[in-house]
Amino acid sequence: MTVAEQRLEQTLPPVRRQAVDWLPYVLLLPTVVFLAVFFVYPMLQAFVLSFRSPEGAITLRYFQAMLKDTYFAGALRNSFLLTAIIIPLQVVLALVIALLINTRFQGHPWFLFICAIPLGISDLGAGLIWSSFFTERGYLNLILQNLGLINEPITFLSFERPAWLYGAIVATEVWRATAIVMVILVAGLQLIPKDYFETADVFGASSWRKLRYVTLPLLRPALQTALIIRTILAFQLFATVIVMAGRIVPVLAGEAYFQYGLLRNVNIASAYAVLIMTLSMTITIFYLWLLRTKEEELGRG
Amino acid sequence: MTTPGRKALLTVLVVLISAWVLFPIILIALASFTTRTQLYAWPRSLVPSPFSAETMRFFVQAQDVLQSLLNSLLVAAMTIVLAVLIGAPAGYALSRFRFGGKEVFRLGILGTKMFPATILAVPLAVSFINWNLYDTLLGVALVHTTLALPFAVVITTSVFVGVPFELEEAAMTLGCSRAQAFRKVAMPIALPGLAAAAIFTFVLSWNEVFAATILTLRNRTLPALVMNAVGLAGAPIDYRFAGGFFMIIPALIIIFVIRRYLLTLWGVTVR
Amino acid sequence: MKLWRIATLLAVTILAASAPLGSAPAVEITWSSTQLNPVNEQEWARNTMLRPFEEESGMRVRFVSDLAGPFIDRLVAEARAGRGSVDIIGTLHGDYPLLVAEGAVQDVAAILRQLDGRPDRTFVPDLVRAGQIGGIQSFVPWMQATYLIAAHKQAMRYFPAGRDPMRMTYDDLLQWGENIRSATGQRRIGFPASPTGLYGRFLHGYAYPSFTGSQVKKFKSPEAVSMWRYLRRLWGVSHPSSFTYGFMNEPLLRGEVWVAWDHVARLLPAFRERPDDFVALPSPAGPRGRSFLSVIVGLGIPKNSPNPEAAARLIEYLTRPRTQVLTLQGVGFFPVVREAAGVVPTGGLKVMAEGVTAQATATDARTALLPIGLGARTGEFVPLYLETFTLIAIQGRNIEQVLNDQARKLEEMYRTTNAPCPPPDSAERPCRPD
Repeated sequence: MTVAEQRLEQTLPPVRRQAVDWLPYVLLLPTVVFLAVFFVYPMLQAFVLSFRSPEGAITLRYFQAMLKDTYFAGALRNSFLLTAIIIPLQVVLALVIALLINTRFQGHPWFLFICAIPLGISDLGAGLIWSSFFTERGYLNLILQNLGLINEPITFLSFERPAWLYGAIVATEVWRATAIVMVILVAGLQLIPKDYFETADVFGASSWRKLRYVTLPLLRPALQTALIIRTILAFQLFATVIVMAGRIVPVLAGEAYFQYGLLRNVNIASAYAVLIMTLSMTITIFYLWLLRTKEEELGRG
Repeated sequence: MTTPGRKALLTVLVVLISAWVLFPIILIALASFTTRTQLYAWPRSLVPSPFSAETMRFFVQAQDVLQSLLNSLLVAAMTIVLAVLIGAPAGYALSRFRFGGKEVFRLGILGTKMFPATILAVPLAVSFINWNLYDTLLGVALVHTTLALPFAVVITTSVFVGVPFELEEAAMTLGCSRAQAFRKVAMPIALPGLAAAAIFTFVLSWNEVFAATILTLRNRTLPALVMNAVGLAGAPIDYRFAGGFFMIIPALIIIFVIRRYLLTLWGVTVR
Repeated sequence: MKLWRIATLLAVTILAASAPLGSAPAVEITWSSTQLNPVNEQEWARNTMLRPFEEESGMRVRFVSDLAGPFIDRLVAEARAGRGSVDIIGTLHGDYPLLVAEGAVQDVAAILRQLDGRPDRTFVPDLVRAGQIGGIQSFVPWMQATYLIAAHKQAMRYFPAGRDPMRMTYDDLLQWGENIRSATGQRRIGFPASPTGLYGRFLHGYAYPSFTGSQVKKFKSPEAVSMWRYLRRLWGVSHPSSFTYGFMNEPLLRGEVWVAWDHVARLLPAFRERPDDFVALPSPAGPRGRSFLSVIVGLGIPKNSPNPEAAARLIEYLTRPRTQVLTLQGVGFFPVVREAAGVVPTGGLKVMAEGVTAQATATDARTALLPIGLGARTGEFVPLYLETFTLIAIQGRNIEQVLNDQARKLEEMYRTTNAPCPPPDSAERPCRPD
């Protein structure tokens, strides 16, 4: 249980526990109704599209068609691979930023502002910016050439160098989406009571040990939240990928988009959507499970 | 406490990270004040000589840009009202009450983020035509509200957690009804946080592309217009840079305005 | 309380905004088009092409450009809902079979007959015939286009010695790329192979018929195998960023690419920007001739068009010889009425028109048309060729095996839709790869 939760616990009026109080349900009602109409209903329609044959029977043919698709295996692999590369980088970078902000150095509000800017930039905007960076006549080559490091522009976005393509995608995504992780971690750090650090100081713990044994364990809930949100969003990544790598680096959400927009195959597009949702859910449950065990360990220790 | 070595390391890190975030934005800003001819030249200098407003003017004067800017603002305004009016009560409930199904609700809210929104636009387009919402700004706002609502609930929860319940209790013991206590005590304290939540919703709506592209025809929002022009219609290089920079400006301003609240906003997400 | 005042204010905004914006003029018609999509062209359509019409008719035209996907969705959805917001459409001839099958467009035979009867215009009969689908005249021809090669003048000195660029063969093209590569160390031939590019058209409408004399029937023939071997080598001398190119005018103007194949409308901005730097060349010839795609754009009227009379007036205006010449000068789409032919354009357009003429009048020229009759599966045709390309040229799989697998998909597609072979194959149905 986190500090916020504990505080919540203390503030809860005990009277509320006796009879069933309908007020909270009334307050939730608008949200539930709204999401039911504009989210659950179309989502169920998409489910139906992915499972129902033209004759109206339940069928797996669209999932089979998806599995057999030329781009499927690559898309699945790339989605996992990109998630596995991007998220750790984002978490480490966000943690560094959060710890820097937490030192409360002079000017840290400005630093926070700068680091939060990408929060307001769409994947379209980020794709525009970074593609102009990596093209053959783009800024990266321009800078290298102006510095005299190269004579001829280098082709960074080349199908022969998948690693560089990955690099371009990773750079764009780390630039664009680290901010959200950072904000969650900074908020998490603020919730850690100062007495923990004071106690650690009393025992003469080094900065590294404080980070390892005080900050990180207490930051775990924030890390989990950030991981869940980022992982869910990472599986929906495709706009920046298409800008940088076309379909050379297929990803799941991109294939869903292509099946819908390019091939006009709504059923297979829905099958991809259902797959993405299933994967996101599985990973979220995994994270929640991970969080639970760690919390118990912490409780015992 | 801080040794000079640590201070130097801190400074280096802060400068490096700031540069990493700012550098691309500066580049695109410079590019949007460079003429098209210069942008096509190779090699070219990074800084335009001379600075030219031509590129920006070309973008702003392009057909439908100003109209779709207005559309974007209206859609965002509607999204804010809807998301806060619908989401804030739920956030309040989550922050104040213990009730059966609370965890289910929380997970359900998280679950809505797992389904790719792109696919939702397909069935929604058909429903919207039947409901006369197709190609209306309200229709786009409704979809944006759907996307923003989970965040609105999460954020308002943390805003209300930051408002001590004891104050409301005190008001109630002094004879206020529950509603009065909320309106006279909790609301004023929560207002800045709610405003920040509203502005965050604005960012979400301002940046949304796909629903806006599929669900509109004449009433395009700005990102939908630029997406269509850049991604799919081969807009020239100057339109691309100017459009990209133009869309970043509100983000810069808004993040600046709400920078103090960024952290409160995400307080309780950390659960 | 302040908050409530703000809320009321915003609620009023909602109400105001959900009503249509701005006050509409007396008659406004909506024209939805998948063509003239690039920003410059949209600007041109609104400001130059439609302005005289609006002045003479007193009507206002909302020109809305869209992608094929949402465009078709919208028309089909409006047809099903029994309610329409689009008065007139302009799209590729290949989109009409689906629209006809869904009952989303009206028969425009009467309008066409009336226009063709006028002394000032004679529609090209081939183009009119292409619009006869499912027993109705589904569109009135509006404009036509094709695909060409654009080359930077500095690339011409690497063109294979002793060969004529205006009578280029596929071997010349490959040699050209190799010459550039060995002289400069760079690969400067470019293709629009990104998901928004039209490289798929190169595969099924240019390479296939030129090498095999067929788009579908000889899909896995021995000639096709040698064609794929060739394409693999050509890809090897093509710019390695080709898979990110959507519109070739951009890499041409940036100087990343010196020789580019693309749709004329997508090359034109480069010719306009720097008319003296580029030349237009016909597409290459293969063992079975110089095949090129003729792209036909037609004007149709949706089933639930709110104002079909106004749509007919707009069609009349758009097919006038004067408007047709204006269209050629403005966006590089070529006229569909004979009376507009023979007008000599200037500048970059002249260069381009020469390329088009050289391609169309070459002795070995062969016209291929976009596939029709695939109905709801039209969208799968081009991606199938692109996928074949990905497997063979990029992933380096075994050619025969890939062709066998892909031919099975092609056959299934044609069998279920019972569609005829596209020209130059004979129109047997269902079409079957041998």
